[in-house]
Amino acid sequence: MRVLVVDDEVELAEAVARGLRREGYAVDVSHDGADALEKAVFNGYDLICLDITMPGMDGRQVCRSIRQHPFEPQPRILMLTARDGIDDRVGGLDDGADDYLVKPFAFPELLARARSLLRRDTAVTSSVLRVGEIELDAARHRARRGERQLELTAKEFALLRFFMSHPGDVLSQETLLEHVWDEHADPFTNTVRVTVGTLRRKLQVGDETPAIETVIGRGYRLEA
Amino acid sequence: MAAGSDPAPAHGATPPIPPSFGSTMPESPPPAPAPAPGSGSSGATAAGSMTAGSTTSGSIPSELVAPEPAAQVHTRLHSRGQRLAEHLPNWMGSIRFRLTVVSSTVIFGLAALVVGVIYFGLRHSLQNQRISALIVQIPGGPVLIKPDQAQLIQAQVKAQALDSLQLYSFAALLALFFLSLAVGWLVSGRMLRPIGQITAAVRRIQTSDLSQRINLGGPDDELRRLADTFDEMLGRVDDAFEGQRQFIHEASHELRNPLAVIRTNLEVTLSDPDASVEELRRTAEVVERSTERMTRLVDDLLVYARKGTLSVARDPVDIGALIVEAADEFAVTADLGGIHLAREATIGLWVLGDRLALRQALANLLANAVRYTPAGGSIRVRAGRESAWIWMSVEDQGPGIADADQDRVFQRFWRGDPQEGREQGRSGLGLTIVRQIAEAHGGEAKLASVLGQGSAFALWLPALPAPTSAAPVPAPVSVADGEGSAPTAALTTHPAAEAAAPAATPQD
Repeated sequence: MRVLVVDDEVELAEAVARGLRREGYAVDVSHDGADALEKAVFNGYDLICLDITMPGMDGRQVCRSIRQHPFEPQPRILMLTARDGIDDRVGGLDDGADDYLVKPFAFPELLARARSLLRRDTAVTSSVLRVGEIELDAARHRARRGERQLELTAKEFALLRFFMSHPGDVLSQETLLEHVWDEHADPFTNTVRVTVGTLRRKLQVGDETPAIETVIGRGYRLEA
Repeated sequence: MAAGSDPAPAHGATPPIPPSFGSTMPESPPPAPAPAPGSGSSGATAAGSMTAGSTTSGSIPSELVAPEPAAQVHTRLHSRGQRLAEHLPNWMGSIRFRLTVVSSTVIFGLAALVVGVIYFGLRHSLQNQRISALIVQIPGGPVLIKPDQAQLIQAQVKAQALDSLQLYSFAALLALFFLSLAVGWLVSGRMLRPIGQITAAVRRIQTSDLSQRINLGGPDDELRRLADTFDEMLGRVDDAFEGQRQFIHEASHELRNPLAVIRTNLEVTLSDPDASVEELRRTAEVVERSTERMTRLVDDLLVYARKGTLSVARDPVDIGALIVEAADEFAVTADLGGIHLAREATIGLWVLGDRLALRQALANLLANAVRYTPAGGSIRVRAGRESAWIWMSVEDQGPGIADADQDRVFQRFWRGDPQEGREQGRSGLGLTIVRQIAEAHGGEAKLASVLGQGSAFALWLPALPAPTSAAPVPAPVSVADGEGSAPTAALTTHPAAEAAAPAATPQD
């Protein structure tokens, strides 16, 4: 899942990004509205954490611009605001935000809301994703296949999560790179292939059926 | 001013109303109202109710206190009255009741006097009429009645007449008494109805919201003026509350950002069991920076809040000396930044004001100037007199302020570049405080600025008419060595300086 954190408070944005990365999200950071909009248009995020009060183009303008842009699918937008007046909240939601969080917020709450917003795509109602015998608990950061716990790195976890959010779909290397890796990933390395390889080996031990299938020339697919 | 002079007569014209009105204000269990029914003067009862309200435990000390004639008698009366009042039904303690009793007593008294005068006058005149004989016309012809018998008859007739006069008088007086009570009750009720309306409206307003008004219609009389005065006061209170709410809203917003930085950094770092020492140290540094920022903000908030509520001290302050002092204080800071600080001031520019506050205003302006002037630039701080005004100005060679922003620089929490402002730990209140101090002194804060050339901030203060201390020394204290240098020359001709100096005189 790829996330953009936008806040003119550099130290806040960095901390949020650090925390989200640890949860396995691919996170980019932006410190002003114009830059955020540019990144959003260019990168196609799953979730944007957007501060409202920013110099120049503020969060609400960014939100409106994003909503006018023909993204498919539209990113989820979580507004972060230091203003807690009803007008501020209503205004933010009317501009197209999906949710809001008042600063200072508890970080676990931000994570929970991020999870909840990202779930809306997949029509799943809890933080636990299930595909076949594979089960992934995004809140507890745990995954297992049947009774076997999977020891995954953050990136592998994020990758598995993205696969499980799109079960049965063929996902290209570019799609995976865009949604699981952040802007610092080099598109010309074989990092996607390598990570998919290690994840596939961890998912399939002994005589278990292969979980991730390679669709030649198109990408990868998680068997439902 | 116009508002202040108007309410005074309204209060003056109806002295008994405010205290009693006040005593009926509190909610459900109404306190024992002012006592002394029938004590005559309504002014006295009103005063009594005032003291009753202010010393509720008055009855306890009255028995214990050492004899102290006047006070003790007063307290005893007062406590006795209070006890009496506690036993009276509620309606008896009302102004309406007292007005009725007083008016009825007065009418009754006057009527009794008139009746008494008539009665005794009549009796007196009857007693003086003596008849010596009486001739009675009867069918058989006139009969002469002897004087002693005639006088007996006359006395009987007189006594009968006086008796019936007495009876009618008493009956009339009795009827008058009840009639006056009824009329007094009705009339005072009618007179006092607007007060009831005001009370109800004020009660409604205090339990709901302050945006409502009494809006008492009717003729322009004392009560209408009272209600209008209440409305004016409500308007001011409402504005003050609204201002406070707005300020608290803004201030909490300003405090939330650094709080969010601290909290998120701590939570993210602490929730990572494998956080390195380097990471922990970095987090600690972020927290330290944010707390510094908050400390400065809270300091400025306190200054701002204090200046907003307290009236400034009024002592003669020499702006010339203040300039010298502040310039010397900032010389080191300016030097460190490679900035030349020039001052031009004449001793003896007296204003009435708060020395510390004025010094703070100047310090805020100088701190701003030092912050924005690049190394190698210069700052000029000077003061002078312009007819009835004393001005002091700080001119810098910073980036200047765009025309669109010039109105906003004095606004709360406005920072030219928020990110940069935060990094420098600025509260966004510095110039707001300057303006506040200028206005508290009956003056004005002015700005003139040209993008790319610099800004000039000026404070205009009313001059003290006659210098109080030694004759002013009209010698420039220090026209610093930079007088002829390029930067200073540039600022004298630069429109900013022109505008901020004489041209920026407050319109008054």
